[in-house]
Amino acid sequence: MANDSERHDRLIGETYHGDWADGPASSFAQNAARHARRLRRRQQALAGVAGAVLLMAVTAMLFPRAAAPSRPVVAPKIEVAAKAVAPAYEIISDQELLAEVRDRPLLAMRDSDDKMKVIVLAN
Amino acid sequence: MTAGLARGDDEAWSRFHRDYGPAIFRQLLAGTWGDHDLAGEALQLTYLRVARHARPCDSEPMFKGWLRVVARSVLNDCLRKRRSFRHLLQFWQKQPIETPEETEAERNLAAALARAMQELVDDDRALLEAKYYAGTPVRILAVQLQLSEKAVESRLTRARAELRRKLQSILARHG
Repeated sequence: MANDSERHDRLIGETYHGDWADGPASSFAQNAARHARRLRRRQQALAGVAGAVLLMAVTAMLFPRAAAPSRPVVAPKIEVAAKAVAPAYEIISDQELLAEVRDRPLLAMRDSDDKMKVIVLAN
Repeated sequence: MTAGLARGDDEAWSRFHRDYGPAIFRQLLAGTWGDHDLAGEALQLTYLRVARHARPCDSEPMFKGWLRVVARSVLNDCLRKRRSFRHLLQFWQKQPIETPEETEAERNLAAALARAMQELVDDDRALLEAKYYAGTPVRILAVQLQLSEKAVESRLTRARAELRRKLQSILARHG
């Protein structure tokens, strides 16, 4: 049985907030519960991180060689020289063509497809 | 229960709200001279502070004392935010001694409540006394008054609203 003070408290609480246990005021308790859970999760996460860091520090102290970082393996650099690939053919002007073939023997012949081929006989 | 509060257990928090919340609210309402908005805000902040600092505790008197200190601390913070420094000094001049026992303001609130109850019409006062002082369940009240439970709840709501108006008026006059 509640004492006088508790009955007064309940009357005052419900006078201002309606039903105390299940009314709007109960949201205060729900919010607080959520807040407490959030804090607890954060503390647990922090404790986990701190534990992991501590474990790594202890391991590094006890087994310095094993914990020392291995020498980095450097992959050999393979440099591929960019070769200038000569084009299969070059388009030149008529003047350039004439300058190239001037005073040089040429052989003009048709192939089986009836296409004309011009062959320079001497450099 | 305190371990449940620290864990954020919903059931523990519901119990805490039911068993300890009204006393905290009364303390805050008295400390704000009936400013229920400020008292409500301080109540929410008190709960959050309890959530942050709650640890398992076996002694109920110790826990209650701690709650009073937390509520007072939260109320100071709220007053500091809302009021000027001069008002804060006036507040402390009225309540210079920090004790875990009932303060002068709380005694004033209890007196104002008694007076507001006396000012209610007889039916409302009888209903509130039966519900809150005698602890009669609504179901039994409905049988006694030959009303439905819903009708009794409505009458209770109206009676509390009237009590609140009278209480605010008394606190405003004497605050």
